[in-house]
Amino acid sequence: MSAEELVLEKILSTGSNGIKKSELKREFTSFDLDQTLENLVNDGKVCVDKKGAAYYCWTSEVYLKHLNNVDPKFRILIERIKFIERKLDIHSNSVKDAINGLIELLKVESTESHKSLVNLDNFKIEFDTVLTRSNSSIGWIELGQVRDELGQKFDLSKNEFYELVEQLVNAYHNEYELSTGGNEGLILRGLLHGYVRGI
Amino acid sequence: MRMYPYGLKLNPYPSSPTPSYVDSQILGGRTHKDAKQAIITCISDLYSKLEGTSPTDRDFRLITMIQDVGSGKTHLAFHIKGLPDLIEKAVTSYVDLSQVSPRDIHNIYDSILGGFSYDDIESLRRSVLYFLCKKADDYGSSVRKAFNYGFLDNLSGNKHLKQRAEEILKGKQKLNFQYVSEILSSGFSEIQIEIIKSLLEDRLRTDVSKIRSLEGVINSLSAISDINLKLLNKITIFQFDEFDSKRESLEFIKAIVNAHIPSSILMLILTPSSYDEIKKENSSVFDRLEKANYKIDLAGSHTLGELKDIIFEYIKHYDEKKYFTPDHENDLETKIRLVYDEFPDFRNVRSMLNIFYHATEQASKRGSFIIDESIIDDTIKIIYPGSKIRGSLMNVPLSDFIQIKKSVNSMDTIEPDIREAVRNLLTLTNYEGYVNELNFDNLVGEGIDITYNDSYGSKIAVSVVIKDEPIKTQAQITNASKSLNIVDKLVVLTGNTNRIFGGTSRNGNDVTTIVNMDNTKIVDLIYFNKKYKMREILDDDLERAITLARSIKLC
Repeated sequence: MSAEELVLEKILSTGSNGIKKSELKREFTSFDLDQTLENLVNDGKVCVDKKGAAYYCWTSEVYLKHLNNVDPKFRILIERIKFIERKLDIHSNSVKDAINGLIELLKVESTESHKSLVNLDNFKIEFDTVLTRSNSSIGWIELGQVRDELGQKFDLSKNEFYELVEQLVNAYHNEYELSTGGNEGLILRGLLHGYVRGI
Repeated sequence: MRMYPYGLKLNPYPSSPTPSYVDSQILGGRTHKDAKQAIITCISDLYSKLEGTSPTDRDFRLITMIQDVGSGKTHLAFHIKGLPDLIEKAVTSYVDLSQVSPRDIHNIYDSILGGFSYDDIESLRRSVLYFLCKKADDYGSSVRKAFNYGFLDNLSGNKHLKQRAEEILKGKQKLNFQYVSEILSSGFSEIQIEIIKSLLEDRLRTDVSKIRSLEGVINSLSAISDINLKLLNKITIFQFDEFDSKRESLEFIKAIVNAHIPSSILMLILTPSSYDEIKKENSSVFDRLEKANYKIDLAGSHTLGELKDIIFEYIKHYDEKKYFTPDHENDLETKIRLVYDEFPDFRNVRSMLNIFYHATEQASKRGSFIIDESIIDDTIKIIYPGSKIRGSLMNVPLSDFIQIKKSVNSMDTIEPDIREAVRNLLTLTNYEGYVNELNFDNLVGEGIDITYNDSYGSKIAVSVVIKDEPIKTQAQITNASKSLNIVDKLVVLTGNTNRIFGGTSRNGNDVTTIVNMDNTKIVDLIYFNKKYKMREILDDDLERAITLARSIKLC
């Protein structure tokens, strides 16, 4: 056994009372006890503290119990730390739950069709693209034709498509114009508006 | 004497659903003015090419004007027809094809002849008679006989020919047409002479039935166009409004386009829908339309800027004493913007002019110098009784809407008012039995304004977070959500559309509901609160208030 092991075993055997440093000096004379103790303290295995007029040695766990018994300030701090520890545990569980919830939510969304990805912004981009591609020399295009393209792309029903078109032309009323006629479209002033163009 | 707003002596706006000739002399809006300029350029260009040369089939132009109903196409066509600058250069026939039924060749031709103005017809008659007078040197005897000169008239030579011409124009004398043909035969074709004869005998339209074929109509139109150029030194413009995909219209227009009537311009006015239908119906005509010399684009004719310009133009046209100041202009602009923003149905020239015609009448009746919110509000109520502010549940009158909306501009200052309105709304719903256990004391946590139990017994907390800054909003919502340990559900009423999250949170369990309070909902709440505090909530309002509470997820 090494010198550290011999000393540690001796300290452990003394339990909660600890052992006087002077007793260890008397017992271990074949090596440099001060150096050995310093090594053990640096490793965090042993604590050396004054009790009464003498210096005592404890293992770390036993030393904490000793302080808990003799030092009320320490006892209060330990209780507070344990309380914080419990809180942290609770919160870390909550965070874990929340993350799991989010993961579940993302899984559900990703398994849904493209429909869930439709918002006014990306609808506008695609809508504008269709208008730009229109080969009409006057710029007007049937809304039904736009729906054929975008309805499939976004998996939109007829009603959903026209709800989005209504939102779009209301939000960007200086960018689009509607015109009467056609077979399907938006109803304005009681008239079917089935043609659209960008301004 | 009745006065109109801004010191006007009359109501400047047109009262009829379709433009009248007088109203069409006023043209406002950049888009419309640009279109007008394009047409003038086309006319001037053709006119300049005809100076000193005989017209050929190359001297024909096709103009298309395509835009939605109520956008001002007819107005622009009328405006062009009556432009003083063009009266010296062109004779215009305007035909509304929707009024031509059945659309056979006779009816269409008759409408074209009817489409020339009385002044143009009279001017042509006078020119023909004066032309005959000038021919007295070459055809003295025939001319005198044509003018029914008697023995005594003959003694005076040709001095009184012009006087006789005027008498013929006034219907006091008749022209002896037996001799006219001889005089005209050197410069005019047979068909032109027939038309001149019909013109002088005032039988132009009754002779329409003599024409038997479409070719005959085209020849007659060519003849008229040529007569106009020879005698009036003017080109001829044929305007066809409401051009559509009906077979008869397509055949007729195709024939005119193919004929390339020299020294004429064919102007076709149609909607995008008609244009598309023509494409499907007759590719041959569509191809011709696609190759039009000028495609007049009225894109943007329904934009706010265009409508505003048009509305101002009418006032300025009649504002001789310049009572309509820039301040008035700014003030009126806010009213126009409001109508435009809140009533999508009125976003077109025709509807807007109709509103301002009636608003001007209302202002006059009230003796108001300006058109204010309440006048516009009353006008809309009267002429469009079913109209509401877009999305408003409380049926907020336009005048209140304008006032409240002004105060909604700052989200930070409006928050206490919204909080009070929500409390009063919940007090009302509590009274009506939709919620209970109402508590305005914050006992559950930071950021909570009200708690109550809904009809299922769930404890609900409400937090009003109307901040301009998204970070502050987010922080307050986070604080409020701590109360979820105590309550079953949290409703957050926020006005910040840039919020990071929204809708229902926590795995979709309806625990936190974020309600985005758009301007209309805020105005609805403030309006409700005003009526509630004044004890003016009536039965109808009560139902609307409950609907409002439901719309913001309070019950």
